[in-house]
Amino acid sequence: MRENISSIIESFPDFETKIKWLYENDSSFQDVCTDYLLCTSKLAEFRKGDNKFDKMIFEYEELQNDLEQEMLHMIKSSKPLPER
Amino acid sequence: MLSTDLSTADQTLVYPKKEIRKQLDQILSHEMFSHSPVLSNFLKFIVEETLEGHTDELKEYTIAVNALGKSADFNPQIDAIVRIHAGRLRRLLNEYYQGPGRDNSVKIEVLKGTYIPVFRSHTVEKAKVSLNGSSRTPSKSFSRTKLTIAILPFRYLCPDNKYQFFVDGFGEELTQSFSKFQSISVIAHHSSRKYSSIDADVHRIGSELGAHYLINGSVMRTGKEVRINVGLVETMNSTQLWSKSYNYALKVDNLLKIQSEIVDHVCSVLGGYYGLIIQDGMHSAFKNTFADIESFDAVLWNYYFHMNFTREAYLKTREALEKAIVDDPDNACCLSMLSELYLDAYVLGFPTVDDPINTGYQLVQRAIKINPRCQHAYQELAWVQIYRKEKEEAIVAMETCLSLNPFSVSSIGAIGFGFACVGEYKRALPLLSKSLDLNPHCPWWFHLGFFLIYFHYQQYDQALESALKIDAPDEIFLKPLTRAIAKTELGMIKNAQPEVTALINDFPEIVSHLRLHLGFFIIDDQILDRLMAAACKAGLPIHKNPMISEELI
Repeated sequence: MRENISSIIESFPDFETKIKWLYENDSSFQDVCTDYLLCTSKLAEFRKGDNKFDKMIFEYEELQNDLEQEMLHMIKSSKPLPER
Repeated sequence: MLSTDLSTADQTLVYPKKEIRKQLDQILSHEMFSHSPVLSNFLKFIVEETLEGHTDELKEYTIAVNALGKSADFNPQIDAIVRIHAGRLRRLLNEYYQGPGRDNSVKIEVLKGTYIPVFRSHTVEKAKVSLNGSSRTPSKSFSRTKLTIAILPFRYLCPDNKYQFFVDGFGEELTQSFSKFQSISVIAHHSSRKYSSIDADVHRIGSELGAHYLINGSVMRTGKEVRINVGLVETMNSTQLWSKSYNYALKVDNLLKIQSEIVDHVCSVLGGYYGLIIQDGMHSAFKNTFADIESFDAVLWNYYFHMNFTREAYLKTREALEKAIVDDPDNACCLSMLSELYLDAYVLGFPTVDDPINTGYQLVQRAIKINPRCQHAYQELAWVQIYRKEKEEAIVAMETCLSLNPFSVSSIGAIGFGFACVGEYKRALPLLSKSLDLNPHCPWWFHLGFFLIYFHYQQYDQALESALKIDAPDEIFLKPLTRAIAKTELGMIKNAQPEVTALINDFPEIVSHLRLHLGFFIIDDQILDRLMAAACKAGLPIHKNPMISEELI
């Protein structure tokens, strides 16, 4: 899973360090990442399929957006990283 | 008469339904949820289905179709929408309870890996502001309505991965075994498993999982030996309450046996009505809220009463249980306890309901109808049958009770006592001995069981030893009576006179109808005859029963 969060980092490149830290230390953040990755992988599947998935594509795009907002909220509201 | 595990397999019924619905309305009316109709529908559906007892139907498909408006051809293999929304709902609920819902008394949670919500008591200390104006992080505490434990993944302290399966198995096995105790809620292991990789402190884990207690452990291998350490930690104060090391010779073919032995032992010591977890929970709750019956849980009152049998505890317990039944008439656990309480009062001479045997019988039948796997209800059914002098039915109920959770040390002991009262001494002795071996914190009436057994076998030294261990309050006549009888049978009639005098002075009514009082719960006529004869010999003013032979007296 760790390697897969690269796609999340790509979505929020300004927060790379924070994302990595939260992923290691915050179980709720881990969960939202898992949901996000499931959502994006399903979306990719549907996009490859025929137009019977159009409705689901729309629904999953909205969901992806919601999950991104949720991640962003968690990233921004989390405490500053401990200093090294 | 006597109590063991609390008894509802259906933990949702720990709270009155109306309280849960009120909490649901409160959540749904908050803007965090009102802005999200999908999550609101999801939550409403799973809570309502659970309250109606339809938890078997809480599957991805039914949720998708009934709560999320999906069509009948919904395929969970293709569409992961329910799983994803479940995660969102879980996090939104957590956020709600950390913020606007922090003062709500009931917490509705959706744990990972299940769509069945759990309902917990929830109180959160408000952030304490210090003199310099800074605030401390709020910490959660959970009142003791139902004690909750989580089994953390055991740590593997060996250099290789050869025995990882053995280590992982402890979490699964302990979770499964503890879930058989109806007195304790157990967090699903897939929820606690994540803490194997995240280094969090005990307080935080307890707070996140809503667990009052954590069981943790480690496995080490040294040469040809394996050492397994297991501990119990209280999460609010991060206090280590218990720990034990188990050492075994390491052989690949005995790993499952080792695991099974350790799991059995840990469950026996910590689980059940007289296990360390309930004991500690009771003491904690008692310390905080002794005088406040509203906040002190009826179930723990019941436990407290059955540890000492005082009139004061009886009255408090009865008040709390009767209130609990009014609030939640389908609570099998409380119905069984109330049945038990009415019958106990009948035996002990405390004020009770009219016709306690029939009232108790009706309550316990209702409890079994509501929850056919309610261990406590079967235990009470056994006692009702004893009071009704129905020995065979009592034995069947006792056997069913034991089969429902063979790990429950308290049930083993209570049923052992029951067997002694119906005259099945051979079956009684090993059960009582096993219970006492595994958990020495037994109530005083376990020793009454031993007394009856040894008295039956005419082993009066041991009968006296058991009688001396009956640490009942002074208002219980059985303490002086068993001592007087055992001393008399040992030829120490003079020595028995303080107890005889106490009986005559303090329990004149019981003494004059002694056979009747003993016969409430001892249905072996032979031992009753012998007890009465010994009491007579001791000098108690008992009317001679023509059925007792002169030889005995």
